[in-house]
Amino acid sequence: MAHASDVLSSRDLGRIGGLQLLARQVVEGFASGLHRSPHKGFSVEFREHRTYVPGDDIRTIDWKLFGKTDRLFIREYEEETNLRCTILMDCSGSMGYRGTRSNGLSRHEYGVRTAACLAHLMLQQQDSVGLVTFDTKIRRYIPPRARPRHLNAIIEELSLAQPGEETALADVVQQIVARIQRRGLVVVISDLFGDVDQLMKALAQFRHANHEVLLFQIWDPDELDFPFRQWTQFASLENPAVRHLVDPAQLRRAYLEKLTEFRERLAQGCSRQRISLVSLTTDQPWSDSLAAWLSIRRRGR
Amino acid sequence: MTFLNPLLVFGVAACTIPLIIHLLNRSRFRSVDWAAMHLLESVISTNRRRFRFDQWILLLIRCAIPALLALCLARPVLTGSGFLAGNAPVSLVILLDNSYSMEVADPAGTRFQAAVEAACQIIGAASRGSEYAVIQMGGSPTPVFDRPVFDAGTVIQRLRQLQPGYGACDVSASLDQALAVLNGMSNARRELVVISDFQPADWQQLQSEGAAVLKQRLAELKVPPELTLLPIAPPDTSTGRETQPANIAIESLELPRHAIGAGQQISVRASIRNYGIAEIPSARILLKHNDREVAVVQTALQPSGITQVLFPFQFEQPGSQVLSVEVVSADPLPTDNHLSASVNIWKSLQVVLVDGAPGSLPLQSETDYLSIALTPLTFGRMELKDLILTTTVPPAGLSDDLLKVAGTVVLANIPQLTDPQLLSLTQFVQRGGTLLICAGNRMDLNWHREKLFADGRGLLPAAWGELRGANEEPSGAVPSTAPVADTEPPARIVSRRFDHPALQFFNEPANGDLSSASIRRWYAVVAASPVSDNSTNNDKTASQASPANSAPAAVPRSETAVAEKPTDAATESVSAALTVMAQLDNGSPLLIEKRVGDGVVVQLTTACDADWSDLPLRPFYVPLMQQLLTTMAEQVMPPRNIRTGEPAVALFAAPPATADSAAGVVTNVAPPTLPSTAAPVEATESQPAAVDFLTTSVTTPDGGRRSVPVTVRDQLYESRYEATQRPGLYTLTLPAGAVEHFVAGTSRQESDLQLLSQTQCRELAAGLSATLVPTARQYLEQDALRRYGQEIWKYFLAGLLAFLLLEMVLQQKFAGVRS
Repeated sequence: MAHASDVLSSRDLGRIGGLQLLARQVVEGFASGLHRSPHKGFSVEFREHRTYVPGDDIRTIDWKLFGKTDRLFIREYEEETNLRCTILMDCSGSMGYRGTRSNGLSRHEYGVRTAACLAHLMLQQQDSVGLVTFDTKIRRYIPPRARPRHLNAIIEELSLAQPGEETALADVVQQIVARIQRRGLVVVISDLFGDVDQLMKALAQFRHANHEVLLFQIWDPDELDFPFRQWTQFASLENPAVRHLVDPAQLRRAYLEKLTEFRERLAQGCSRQRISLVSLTTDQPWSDSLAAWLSIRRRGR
Repeated sequence: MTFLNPLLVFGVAACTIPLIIHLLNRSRFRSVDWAAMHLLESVISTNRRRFRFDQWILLLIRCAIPALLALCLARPVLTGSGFLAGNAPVSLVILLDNSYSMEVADPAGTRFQAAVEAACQIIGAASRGSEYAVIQMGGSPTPVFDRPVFDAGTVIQRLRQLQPGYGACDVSASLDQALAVLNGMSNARRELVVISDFQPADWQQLQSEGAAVLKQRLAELKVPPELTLLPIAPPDTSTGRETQPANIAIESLELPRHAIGAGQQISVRASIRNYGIAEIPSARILLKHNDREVAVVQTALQPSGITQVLFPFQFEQPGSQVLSVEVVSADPLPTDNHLSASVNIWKSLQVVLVDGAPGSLPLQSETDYLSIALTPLTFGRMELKDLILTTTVPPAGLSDDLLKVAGTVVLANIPQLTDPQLLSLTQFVQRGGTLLICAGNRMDLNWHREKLFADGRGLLPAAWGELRGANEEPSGAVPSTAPVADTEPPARIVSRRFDHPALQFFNEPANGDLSSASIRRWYAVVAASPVSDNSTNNDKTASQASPANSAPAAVPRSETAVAEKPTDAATESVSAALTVMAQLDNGSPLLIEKRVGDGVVVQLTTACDADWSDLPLRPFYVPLMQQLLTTMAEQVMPPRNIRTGEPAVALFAAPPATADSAAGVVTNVAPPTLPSTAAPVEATESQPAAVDFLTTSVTTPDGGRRSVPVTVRDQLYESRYEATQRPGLYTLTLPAGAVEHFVAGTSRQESDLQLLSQTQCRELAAGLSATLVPTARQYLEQDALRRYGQEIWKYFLAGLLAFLLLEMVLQQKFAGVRS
């Protein structure tokens, strides 16, 4: 794996570094807020005692118990990294929307930060994290690893990804399902714009593969309340040829209705598929995404 | 449509503001790179057309709002027809009803005050430069000003001085005059306002066919005026009649038509009408003589009917006097509670009897019977005094001097007169003398035909024709030159209702039966016109009444006056009305009357003594002759009881400067010793010369005094007062201090206080295409509407508000377009 500095400019490196720093700050601040040290490592956690059978590693025999009971028991522990998390980062054009109230962040940038934070957090927990960036197809696939240095690779990839092209989540999912053999957690960071039915069909494949699916749907506040007043030409981010000059005031209510309907359908589909859907807005702190993740982890345990 | 603030109309341009805003908005749009296009696109694609439509509607509404606001502020006005400057001067004619019914007092004042107030309001509100004419409708139409005036202040001042109490409205004449005045006015807008109480009696004629004619006449005017009817009605028309006491009016006051002498017993008949529906059990009715109460009668007045009251009365003094009847009542209209009549009481009536057949024996002379009949009291040596003084002269004795003092001349059976005598006699009649010509056996028929008849130009009403009747001649009579027909049975006077005032006395059977007399001989008469001969020849009744009558019945026997048909210019010039006063049963006329100049000539076709008839032997001979001569004398007097608008004319003889000791008698108007003359003045007569040194004055009913110019007429002085429009008593004071009373009367139809109902008023207005307004204020509103049109800014304001609301609603609605 090439070093990041080979392909990245110093500014990019700074951005990556910033991202790393940001991820660490967020995760540590978040974790400290939870009053639970992330450094304790739960991979040594005791699970059960089992009767010794010949062939078992004698190192695993619980001698203290043998002294008490005069029988040989094997002490079994939890698997050290049992979570394989794949973060699916949407890099389509629609992710490039940059609203006025999102602290200068585009949806993509917000998503990247969210992904970095998640990756950082999970790597700290010794989980293995992989990354898929995609638009109409898979752009890059980084398989899950649990090594701490893996974070660099992920962050580098995240920071280099730029939004563009259209979205075709369904196709992408098929390819990803084929690549991820072991069951694990699939985190999708996207705006999920597109046909709800197709999306659900695609996500259902993850569920069939026994993956747990967590959807981070990132909204811009502008998209939720449609605050435009004056005449506006809306140009599509994914297809610049599509332009509409309209009076937003006239559209607003219809748009909001449409939006609500869209979100309802999405929520219904997700609940039917037992998929966790978390809506984030770009003006929210990233820790919210971590809280959502943790709550899901706890629930899944 | 026009605007009161025309400049603000340019504010309509403000409608471009929303348009500009719209265009600016569209051109200065914001570009947004949008992510959630799948949401937006579905909304846009399903509603694109609707958005565009909605935008158009909203844009239109938004554009309309400032335009409406501008129009609203510009105060638009709907004008009915054409564009007329609102304050254009107007030519306004007001027909003001000042008849006496306008004196009815409502709680707020009399109706006339209300009418004047309305007129003042209308005039006061007219714009500057308007010209006004006010015509009073009472009696005959009288303009307040000779020509239209421009000063509203003057008009209003004059209007407030006007008095009601005039005679019944002459509606059609007033409208005629109003149209004439309107035609002469100058402004482009013409208004004709009728302010009246609209009594049915006055206006009914207009309700039927008159309305259409008037409407057409209005339309034919160069500038058709706007006709407005303004009824001055009592405040509550529906119950007014029940709550108000009923009106009582003296309808008429009848006095004898013949000359009345001092001391003569006469009866005065007053007719009192009660317009109410309840009987008035005892009404006091007073008779006043020269404002002095002389008799009182209490009587019940029938509801909705006429009650007659008869007052016997005797005048003590000769001269012009006033009798009035008054009913004491507290009805709403006091004006018609009294009625006056002027009476001229003769001191004596000088009659000159020209005896054509004098005789020495009593009753043998031609005029003996007549003389006795005319002066029965003198003849009977009684204490009472005769009205008539007779002087009997032979034909040669008829002198100018005698004619100067005579009032009446009787030519009884005279053969002929000398030419100067005839001339004097003609002048005497022309001046207003009365002449009775009696037939007789001594008449020179040729002279009579050529000189006295002169083809209708002379004094004789009809030429003597055939002598008819019994053949025998009384002994001692001079044989007549006239052809005598075969013996005929004596004729009798046709007894029926007499219309002539002289014979009306005999309509009462108790006063004698004229048909009891038998006329043995008489002259048939030939009128001047052969045409009338033919027409009367075919009269069937004549031949039936007298089968033996072969002679043409020469004179038309109709009772009404028949003008002779003109045969030539000469005849035409003297053509006068002939009236057959009495007829014989065989169709021949007995008494024929003809007016010559100011005087009257009556022709008796039989002798006035007992030779040809037994008339003098009948009891009615005395009243007949008395009535005949006194009525004739009264007839030629200028009328004392005139209609309103007719001139009051007094003739008097000598100017006081030259008056001698007999002035007291002489200067009395038309003294008995002077010939009196009739009032009508021919239009062809040259303007009489005014006399400066004589002054007469008149006291009008409202108490004013005016001087009246004196003119010379024939040998008399004439004082003539024309402005007698107001009913009531006019007293002419003549130079010597003598007074002459005139009573201008009017129809009492105004006393019926019933007014046109509102429905009838509306019908009347509709018939005339007139506007009906109840008050002057409404007239002004109507006028403003006609003039300025209707202000419609309120509607614009309402529209503006509605559009504002609509804009809000639509905006809300359009924003909520469903996908």
